Amino acid sequence: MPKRHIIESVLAFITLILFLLLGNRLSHYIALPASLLGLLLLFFGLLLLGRVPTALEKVSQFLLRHLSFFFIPPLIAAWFYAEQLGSKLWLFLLAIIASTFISLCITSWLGQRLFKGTKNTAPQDDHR
Amino acid sequence: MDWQFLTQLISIEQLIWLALTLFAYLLAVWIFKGFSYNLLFHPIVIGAILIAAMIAVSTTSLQDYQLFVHPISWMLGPATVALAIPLYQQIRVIVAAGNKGMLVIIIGGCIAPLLALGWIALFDFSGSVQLSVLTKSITTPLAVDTTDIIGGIPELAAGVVVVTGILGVIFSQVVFKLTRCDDSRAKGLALGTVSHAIGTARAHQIDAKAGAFSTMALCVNGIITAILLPLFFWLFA
Repeated sequence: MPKRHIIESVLAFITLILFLLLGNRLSHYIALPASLLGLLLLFFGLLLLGRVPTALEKVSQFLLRHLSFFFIPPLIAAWFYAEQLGSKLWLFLLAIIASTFISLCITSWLGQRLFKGTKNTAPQDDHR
Repeated sequence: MDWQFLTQLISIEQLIWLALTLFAYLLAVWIFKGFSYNLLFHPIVIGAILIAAMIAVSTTSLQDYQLFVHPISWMLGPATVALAIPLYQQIRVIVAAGNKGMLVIIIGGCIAPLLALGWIALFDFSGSVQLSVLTKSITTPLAVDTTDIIGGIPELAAGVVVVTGILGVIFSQVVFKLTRCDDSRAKGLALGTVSHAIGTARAHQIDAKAGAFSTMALCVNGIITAILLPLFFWLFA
């Protein structure tokens, strides 16, 4: 990787952290997650800019592709809490299983009914 | 959010656990590929099992492990902010989907957590456990922060989110047949609304349009839930 690309990637990552810090600052006044506020601020920034800088796109794609990695520690912690539920764990799991199944049925049924017959005009490319 | 780990001295033990977690993840991705992307072998699941086994074998406590790998958990913050980029890129899709798309996302986004809460409320679970299922359909970093704000258990919520994501993908094939759903847009919306980032990964395997709609649903549902839940609790609790 050329040196310029490395520097650009580091700057893009720092940009993400700066927006997270801004969101963190803002969350003292608005009771919303800091990361969400950072997301919205960056989104409005991109709207103002009118395009996504290449380095920022690459860094965010990398982070989102490997999102699973960052999930591992929280999932380990969840294990610990799930054990504390003891015999009620299966009731808890059943709630998740049933609600996921039913809501998936409803959303796909509703989406199919609403979109059936309408022209499929959405853009094909998805920038991935 | 705390930034303490930035100023703390890094110990050898911490470096080893960071490296082990990275190794477990890379191994999990390799296994996932080996099983031709069968969702039962999702890297999150295999990675967590590998790490759990290593923690059990060593004399490390779960609390110590969480402390050691704090930099990894912390990265969920910047990763959430990075969602702004796909959201911006999907603006055209959001406009094309219009009110119909929004309706599907909002209905799906409300039904999933309310059904889970309704069932959980029938039994004798503590309040904070009950609140931890409300963010089940939104992407983990948003779910963790939102659950923290409304008084649930963030760690449990993270587990609920991952389980929901994987179950949604496993159910999706059967459900799409049941509801005779053959429109890529509807499939993408359903997967993204119910199964967030894990569903979106599956939607990308269906086709690009399903992927685009799923990314859109993931962002919109995550943002709407993360805004409305704390607001709701602020107003009524």
